[in-house]
Amino acid sequence: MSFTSPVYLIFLAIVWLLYWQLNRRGQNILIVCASFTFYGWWDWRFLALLITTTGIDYAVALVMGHEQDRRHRQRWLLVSLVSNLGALGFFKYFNFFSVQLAHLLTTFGLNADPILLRVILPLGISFYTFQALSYTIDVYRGRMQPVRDVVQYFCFISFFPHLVAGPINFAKDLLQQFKQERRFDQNEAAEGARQILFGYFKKMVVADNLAPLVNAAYGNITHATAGQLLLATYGFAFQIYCDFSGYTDIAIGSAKLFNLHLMRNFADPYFAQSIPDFWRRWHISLSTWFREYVYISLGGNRVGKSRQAFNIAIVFLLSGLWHGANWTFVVWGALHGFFYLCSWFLLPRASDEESSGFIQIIRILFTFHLVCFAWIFFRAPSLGDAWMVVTKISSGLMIHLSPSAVQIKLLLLALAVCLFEWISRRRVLAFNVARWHPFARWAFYYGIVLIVIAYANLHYVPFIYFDF
Amino acid sequence: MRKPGELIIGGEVPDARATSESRLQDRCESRSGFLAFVARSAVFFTPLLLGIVMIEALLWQAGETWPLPQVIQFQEKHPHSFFDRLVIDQATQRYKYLQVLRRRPQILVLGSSRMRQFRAEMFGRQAAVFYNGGGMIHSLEDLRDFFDRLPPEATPKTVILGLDFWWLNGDEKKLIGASDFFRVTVETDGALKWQAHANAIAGFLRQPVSLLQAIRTTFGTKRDPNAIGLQARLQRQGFRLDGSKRIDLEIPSTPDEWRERLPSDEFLRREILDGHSPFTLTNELSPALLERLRGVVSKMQKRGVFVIGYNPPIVGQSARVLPTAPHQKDFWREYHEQVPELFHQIGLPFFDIVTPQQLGLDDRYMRDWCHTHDTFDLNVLQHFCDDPKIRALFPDVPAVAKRALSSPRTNPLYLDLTDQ
Repeated sequence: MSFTSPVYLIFLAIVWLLYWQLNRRGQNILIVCASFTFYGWWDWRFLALLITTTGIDYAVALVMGHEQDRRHRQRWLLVSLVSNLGALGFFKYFNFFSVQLAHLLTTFGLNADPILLRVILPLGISFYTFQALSYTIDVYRGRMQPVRDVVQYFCFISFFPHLVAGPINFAKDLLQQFKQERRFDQNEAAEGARQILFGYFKKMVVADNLAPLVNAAYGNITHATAGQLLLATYGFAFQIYCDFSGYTDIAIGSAKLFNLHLMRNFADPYFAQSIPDFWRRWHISLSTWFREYVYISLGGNRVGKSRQAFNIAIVFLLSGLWHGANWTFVVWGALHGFFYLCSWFLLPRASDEESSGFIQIIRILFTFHLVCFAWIFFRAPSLGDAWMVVTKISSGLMIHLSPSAVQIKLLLLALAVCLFEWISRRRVLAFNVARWHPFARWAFYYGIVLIVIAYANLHYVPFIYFDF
Repeated sequence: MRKPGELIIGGEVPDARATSESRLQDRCESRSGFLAFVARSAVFFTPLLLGIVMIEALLWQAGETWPLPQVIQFQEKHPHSFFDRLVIDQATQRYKYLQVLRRRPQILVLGSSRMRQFRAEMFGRQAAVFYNGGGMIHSLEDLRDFFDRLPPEATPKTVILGLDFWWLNGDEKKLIGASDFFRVTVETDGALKWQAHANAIAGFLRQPVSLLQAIRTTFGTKRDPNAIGLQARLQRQGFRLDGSKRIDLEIPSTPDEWRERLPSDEFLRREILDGHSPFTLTNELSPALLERLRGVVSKMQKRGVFVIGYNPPIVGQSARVLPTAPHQKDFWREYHEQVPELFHQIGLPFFDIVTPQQLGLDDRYMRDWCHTHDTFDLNVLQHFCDDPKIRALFPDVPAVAKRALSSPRTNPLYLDLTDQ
């Protein structure tokens, strides 16, 4: 059940109406049932995997809660790590590493055919395994007590708005909310509905209409001109942002209808003034996860500078690999790691506010173009293709761009989203719609609803992050 | 620090009644807030839902969203009705395929839109066993997929197969890409897909004028009760029960008007020389596609189908440019040599009608540069019947042609078939 299908809206309305008729326990049971239905709608077999791997985490955490011996706790944590990362590795990376191993053996003169599995990648596995791991690691570290109530636990793991593409929430934030009484809050609900509406606008109007422009160029790199590839690269930067942040808005907005709060995932990333700044604004939940559970585990800031740089590089490589079993993602991660380290070593420690407006704009544009450069590797089907895009663009920059009227409209739309974010960069909302006169407010909402209906690309375009 | 549940000596004891009262008050406020929000949401969404319901009612009234089996049943009860959708989808493949399954015709016309004007009445007493599947097949792959899908009991005895010359142009194929058009579209009826409905509503929102037109043609005084679908109502055109297409064309009254209906000679020349589809530049007839044609036709033959191959004509000007165009001439020559030869080898007839002039007619008999119309198609059938084998298959065609073509009410586009 995709967020962009009308089935989801009907499902959401039914669950929401039922939810507010129940007490806390009933609400939690309803959330688990609804979430399993939501997930099983794609393929019920995925549900079995979800329950099995996260069920192991539930049991492991309970055992760790009783266990005083550190070594025993470590062993149980290992069980959780092996079951989660094992499932992730099996479904997502087995074929990739099998092919790489076969290539490696071939270079040493050993002829080996890769063993390939015919399995499909369960939806959202990268997200829910990380979320479940955050729980067991936190229990292991003694940061939180294990939860006994299995319903609360599965609410935390499978709450349908965040289940398939995040944001990745931490147990200490989200699990706590399922333990508490929830009261209906009109302002929260209205805010949630607004966020859902803007999410649909970003996803269905901006991202999905940019998709054909990007696909046309990146699907035929050999014949595409430098101008087309350049436009498509800028287009992809906005497509992936509007796609993923649109999804996140729908997820966070849906959760708010239930008076539940999910983690913020984006904070105007294309206005970042450096790559480290970009990573404080882009996919915040994932970067926080890597910081908490990988970077800090590797020593964090407590180690020497060179070791710290090494740790940063490791985090970015893993982050790249997390996005997909392809060298393109690894290179994307490596590029970001490289840019991050360059920025870390070279840029002065001045805060963003200290530099002048002009310098800030230069830094924003520079950072945006570094990010776009890395997106080429993220979007291209292979490293060879990515390199072809880079060489074509760099050798043909003087070629006239000649965008079509449709392309200009789409890029203007993307710029409108940027403008909206620019206005809202120092406040919570660009326009405080809630304070407007009801007539103006409703006219504004109606305008957006009609634009979404009229200009949504209704050919099913899956959310990009469903692939990860 | 105080632990949960720990008693503090001397601490303030909470008033249990006050706590439960405040909880109760909270719950009541939450409940009333929820109901107010539901009411506000209902008020907000009601006009939107009403708008959608009204557009859906309009589409239903126009026949645009009738499921295809319902369209077919209606046409069977109202033989003069005709069907053409506009905003939901075209539905040609599924609609015609369902008709073939239901009618199980013995004489079946297959091909692209260039084959749609053959009509049941042209076959006299065989009208009931005729169906025109023109518009359903757009490539050799479509033809193969159609026969692979067709159950043996629905296999026709005779197929008149229109072979567009670009089906054998390998470079045109590369340009178009995947050739699974029939296989995909035969599965779908837009009336049953929410995306198609949403697209229709979106289209009306983007162009409100079209909504007004739709309302006028559906509810206006000049509405045609035989028209099913918005295109049928707006343009008075659509598929008849026999699969042929009813098209309302104005009959030109002067020679200049006849000429102006067709694209100019210069325009056609440029289209051909620049290689615009379907004249994609190529240097040869694709041997692979020729073999595919042989395979498909042989397969049909093995199923007991007598295939009459036919190359529908194009206007004279195009036919004059193609044999000399640098990247067309070899392909054009090879098509006219190898395709008839292939049919000859298999033992089947092939009629290569390059232009209307070949039958002693002229370009007035063409609806546009590549589509013929009713009168021309009866002339073609009459020409087919010069072959004794085909005359035996269509015994009534010569008499029908004689009567209709000599009628004073017949013109280069329309036939007088009233006596048939």
